[in-house]
Amino acid sequence: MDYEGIVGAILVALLLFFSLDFDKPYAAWFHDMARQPFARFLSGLAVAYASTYNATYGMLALIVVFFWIADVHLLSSVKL
Amino acid sequence: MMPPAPTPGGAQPNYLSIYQPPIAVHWMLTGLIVFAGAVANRIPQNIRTLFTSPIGFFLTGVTAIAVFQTGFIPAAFAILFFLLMNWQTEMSIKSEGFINASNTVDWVTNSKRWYVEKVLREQPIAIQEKDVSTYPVQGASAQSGTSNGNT
Repeated sequence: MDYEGIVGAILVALLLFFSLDFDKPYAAWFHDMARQPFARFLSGLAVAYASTYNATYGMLALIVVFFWIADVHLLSSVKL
Repeated sequence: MMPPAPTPGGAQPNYLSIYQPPIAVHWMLTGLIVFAGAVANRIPQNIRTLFTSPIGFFLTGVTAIAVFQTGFIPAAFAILFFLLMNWQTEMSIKSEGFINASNTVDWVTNSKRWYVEKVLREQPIAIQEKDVSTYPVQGASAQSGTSNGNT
């Protein structure tokens, strides 16, 4: 797998991870960090930086960050 | 000290050129937009409403597309980040308050206040969750409760 494929796979994995339920203890730290302005600022810069590689990466990173901050749990109803 | 090497053609370097910041200007602008999105909850309500109204949302999206067409893609994504953070903040503020008020909220219609409310200068308009529903513990047997020494 080339470099871009690895980055894409990591972004998709993050997207799935942030789609899970944040009320579970393993993600409590991420949940708290989403309320910190500095963490939001860094995530926004990460989105902008990801878009320099590829617009698709930028869009995927934007969705990941939005799911993280807005507490969107697409997979929260799935029993693990 | 050695003098600088002459440039080709004998042209003298211009040391009084315009100051160039260490970070490119469009990246600084991108950082400012991202920062504004990160602190969207500090933006005044009326300004935030401008961006989250349908027309403002559409115009900001069109602006992001126009910036995208100029070639500097990070600024376009910064605008989208700012827009989504504004929208998320607006939605989270709107969702506060009394949830499902028709079933659980007891509206305060009596003007007489409790002592605590007088001291704390509170003027409640409603009481949420006047009824609390409890359920028996499920999935725990009596054996597991006594094995840990709990009685």
